[in-house]
Amino acid sequence: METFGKIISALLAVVVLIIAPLQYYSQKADVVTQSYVTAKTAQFVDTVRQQGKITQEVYKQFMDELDNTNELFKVEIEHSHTAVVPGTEVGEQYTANQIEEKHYEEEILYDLFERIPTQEEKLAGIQEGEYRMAKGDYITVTVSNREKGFTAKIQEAIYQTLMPSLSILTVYGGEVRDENY
Amino acid sequence: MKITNYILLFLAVVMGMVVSLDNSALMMLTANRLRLEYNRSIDSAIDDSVRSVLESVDEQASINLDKVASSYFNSLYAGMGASDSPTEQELLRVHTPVLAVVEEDGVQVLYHAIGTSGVTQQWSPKFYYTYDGAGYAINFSLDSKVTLVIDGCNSTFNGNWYELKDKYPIDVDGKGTVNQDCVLLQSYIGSIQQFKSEEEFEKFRKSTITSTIVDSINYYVNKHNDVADVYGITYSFSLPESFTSTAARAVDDVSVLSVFQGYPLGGGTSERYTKYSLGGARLEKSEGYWVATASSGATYYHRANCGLKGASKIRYNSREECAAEGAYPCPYCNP
Repeated sequence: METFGKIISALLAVVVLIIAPLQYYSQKADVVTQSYVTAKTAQFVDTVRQQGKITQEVYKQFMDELDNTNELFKVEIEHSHTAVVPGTEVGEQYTANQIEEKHYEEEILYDLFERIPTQEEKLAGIQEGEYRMAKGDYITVTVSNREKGFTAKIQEAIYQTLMPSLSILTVYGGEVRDENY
Repeated sequence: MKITNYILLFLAVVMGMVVSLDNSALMMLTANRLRLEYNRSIDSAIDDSVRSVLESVDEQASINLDKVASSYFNSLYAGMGASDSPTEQELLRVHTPVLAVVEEDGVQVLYHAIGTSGVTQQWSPKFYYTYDGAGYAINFSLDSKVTLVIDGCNSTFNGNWYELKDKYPIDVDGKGTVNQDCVLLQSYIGSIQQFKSEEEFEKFRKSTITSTIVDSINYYVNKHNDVADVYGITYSFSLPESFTSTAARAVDDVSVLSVFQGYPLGGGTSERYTKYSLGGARLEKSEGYWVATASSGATYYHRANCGLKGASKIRYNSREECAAEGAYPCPYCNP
């Protein structure tokens, strides 16, 4: 009976001294990270909505803020723009058709960091290191974990189950309100 | 010592850490949540006040400033859950040192004044977008219209800057009747640097309007520290340099600008909440779209500031009108 008591005590010790604090700490850290990432994403999106453009400076600041968490994130940006183009000819005029264009982070990051504006782009007012949007466009930013979080790893170890490797932390977006360019 | 005793000892030590960690995590979560809520409340308050400005613009009436202020504050009270609390409302007002309405020809500021009956909110006189040059003064507006006042002239000259020369000819009736004021005007127009090109005019107009807005708001924000003393608020009210970029966005149309500063964030934190907000009627007003034919023969419509529109004089109010004419959106300025 004494041996049984010792085993129970040892198991209890493992649970109380190691597993419970680890799980508690990891869950708390995840909640704090989630809140921090949501706040910073909202700040980034609101800045973009007010300026009508993403600049290198604003994007880098957002990335630096995410880096502060020491976790890896996947940041997806979706920009929706409705283009109005001529449709079918009616008499001397055309119908106006709306086409929804979607632009994603690959294109946006190219414009921010690689594009050197051509002569035509310069004439159109496009500057190096910025991605422009129009009033009335929509932007959505989705931030997900690129790797399993600490909590997921702990839970996998404890419960011996696989946790999903990609979990969405926050989605934030809205209408572009202004064109500050 | 038994292992269970170690556990109890461990729990005693860890509980203190847990409580402290829990507390700081909770405060951070609450602070983030409150910040988002406050952002939303102030954005809504600005949108609501802009709507009341737009009503005046649509009716071509002068802007009802008191209506703008009541829209802003009522919306703010509702958003911050202060509709039924006069004390909370007062606190929100005190932490809004300035609410400014950027009008066509000047800016007016709602500020706090200390009088014999206590602290009241009042509208300042209008600060006109004026540039004082040597021997002349230009009053700018949110578009290309100016009022030119020349020393020694009995007349003032109004109109778009580029048409003044033709609008006020020296020979007023075409029969050789010379107007001396117009003689003076014609000589000044040639020498005024801002009237040399559209680019220079725009640059100067924008910088004059921006500095008028910043200077007037800065004056009342600094003055607000006396009001803060009355309320026993230790926070020091001042405008940061970055405010200039917010004000610079207000140069093209009537808009409302609010300075909300130093509000205690709450939720157990000692943090302060600050937000500079601008809502412009420009959201509703377009600079128009310009249709031009490219060298390839294709017809495109451009934004007003797109250099590819060339010398196009064909302006449309909406993209739909341009498309109806068979024009496609410019692939560069992407209207």
